[in-house]
Amino acid sequence: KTLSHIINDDFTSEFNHLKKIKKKPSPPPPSTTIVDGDKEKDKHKEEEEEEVEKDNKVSKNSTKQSSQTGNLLQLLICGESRFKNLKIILENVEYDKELGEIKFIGNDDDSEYQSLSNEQKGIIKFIKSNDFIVSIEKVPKYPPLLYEIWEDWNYNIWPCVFRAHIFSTPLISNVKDETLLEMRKYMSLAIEQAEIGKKRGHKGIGAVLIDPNTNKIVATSYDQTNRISVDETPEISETQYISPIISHCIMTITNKLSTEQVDDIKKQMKEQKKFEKEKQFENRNENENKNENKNENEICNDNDEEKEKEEKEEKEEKEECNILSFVNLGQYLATNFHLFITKEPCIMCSMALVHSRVKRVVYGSSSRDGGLGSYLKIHTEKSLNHRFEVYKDFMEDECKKLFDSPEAS
Amino acid sequence: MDHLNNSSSCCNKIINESIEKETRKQYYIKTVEEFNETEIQEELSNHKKFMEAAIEEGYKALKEGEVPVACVIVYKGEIIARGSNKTNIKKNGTRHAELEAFDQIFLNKELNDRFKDSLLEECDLYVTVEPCLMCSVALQFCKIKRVFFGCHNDKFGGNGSVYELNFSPISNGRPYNCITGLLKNQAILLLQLFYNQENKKAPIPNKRKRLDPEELKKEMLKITENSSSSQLILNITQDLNSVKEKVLKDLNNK
Repeated sequence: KTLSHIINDDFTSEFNHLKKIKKKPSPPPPSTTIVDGDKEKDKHKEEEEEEVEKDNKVSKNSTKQSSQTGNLLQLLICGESRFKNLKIILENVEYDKELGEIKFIGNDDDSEYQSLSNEQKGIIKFIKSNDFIVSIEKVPKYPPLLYEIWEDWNYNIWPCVFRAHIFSTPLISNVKDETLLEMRKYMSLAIEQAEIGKKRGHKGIGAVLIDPNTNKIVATSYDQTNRISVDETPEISETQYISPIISHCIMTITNKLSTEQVDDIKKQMKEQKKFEKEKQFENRNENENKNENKNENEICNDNDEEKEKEEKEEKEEKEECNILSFVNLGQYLATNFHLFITKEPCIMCSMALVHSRVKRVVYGSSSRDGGLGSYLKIHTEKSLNHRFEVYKDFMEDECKKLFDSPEAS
Repeated sequence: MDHLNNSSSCCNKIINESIEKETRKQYYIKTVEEFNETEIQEELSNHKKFMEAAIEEGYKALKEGEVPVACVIVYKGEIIARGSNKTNIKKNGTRHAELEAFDQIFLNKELNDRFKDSLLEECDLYVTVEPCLMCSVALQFCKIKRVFFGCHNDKFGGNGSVYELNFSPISNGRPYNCITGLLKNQAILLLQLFYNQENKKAPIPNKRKRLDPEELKKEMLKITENSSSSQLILNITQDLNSVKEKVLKDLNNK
């Protein structure tokens, strides 16, 4: 849209649109002062916003309508170089409301006024007829990065968009004291697990999985890279077995989780089947009571049919036992869970965390070839389909005592 | 605690990079076509045989409703272990084909005794799809000799597409060689068969109705009858049919 369009035809609709943005009644900013925010804002901003980018170093006419207090009309009219001419002209122009014409009272230079285009004339008419005050104000070049800054800018300076960066971890200073205390509690639990592992001849690394909604401990485990412990008792049952080279802390914890989940689901399915069977028996008994008066032959036929039915049911049961049919039920992997581990996980384990969709990881001491910050930063990798929050060096000294070496867990 | 930039971690990075440079001179990631008149070209028929065995496993996984990625571990010309994805059945996102194959070895007593100390130092791995970041590091822990794979995995691949982890210095690990592009088209076709099923979901989300892979193949042939790529697909499908017959025979015997 050209400016003349906006002013002559669509002005009212455009004005209403601006009104909608300004739901908050804002105090009218001083119209003559120049906001020197540009330099400060440059520090925060990285991305450029298309809307504002066009008007690089724009001068904006923030015009105030005297009749409508509170409602501030902001119109972008021209760039800084053009604005200087316009200001000079505006000072030397008067408007006759009765005639609807513009009179030029300048220093006898009609040529300047005649050189103006129709568009500019329209602007001058519009400004003069509505008693606007014209001033320069600076506008943010980059989008706001914090919500508070956006609130300030959007309602006081210029309508802009706030896009939250979802995957960045919140600062530890923003975390509440209560949650910090709980984090300490869980970390000390992980340290206990690490001590158990150390006693049995493994590396001193332990981990705890937690459901933050219910504050329940979902699973605990420790490093199990030695097959048989010092007591010569096999650590892992066959259902959750993994080869000892790979059975790092996180791999064992994911295995524990999955076996528990599968067991739970199987139990639920069995209970459901029992209910269904009981119902079926009740129905049958009723039917039999009704059929008591029938002939013997018919009853024999009924028995045959029942046998067939039972066979069918057995087949169905076998089919339903396939876990695939109820994989979608219940908790999906480790979504929304928080993990506490004493040592920074290696690349294999950190990728395993991506596969199992953890929400937050807190680890104690960092290691040379760790996957969450030291060697790679897998939790921020763009090509992967899941990202999560990571805090490092939480209760670092206690964790270092347990297992101090450049190896990752 | 919030910022991940420490002086110690920077030092570690420099050390790691210097080690990586040295390993890059010794080890390689190459496509099959890049080997001209070398060992691998001479034994190409052997490698293809093992890869076909891996693809067989992939078809079994496809029937069970898993993502059809499968692998085979070979020691001196013999297949020791076979593995395929079991993420859905075990409800565990980390149960990939490679890890399943390792478990097979370490659950078997004979094999376990043989490979206890030397690990998989003289074994080769044949996978249909490039191992993910997790598996490529796990292969370093197992000290495998060479890895053959079919197609690249742009999202998760740890041997060339996202990172090149077979070179990276990992404590307790040993870098290894990678050879890509072995029966690439067949591996891609396997994945295509799976994802085409996924796209045509049944209206009830819990129970998915799945199309037969054979029907899909016929449709593909119909579409590509007139185009130049029809011959290529025909060749692949002929190969696949031979593989499938083998699978069916095995199943019948069992």
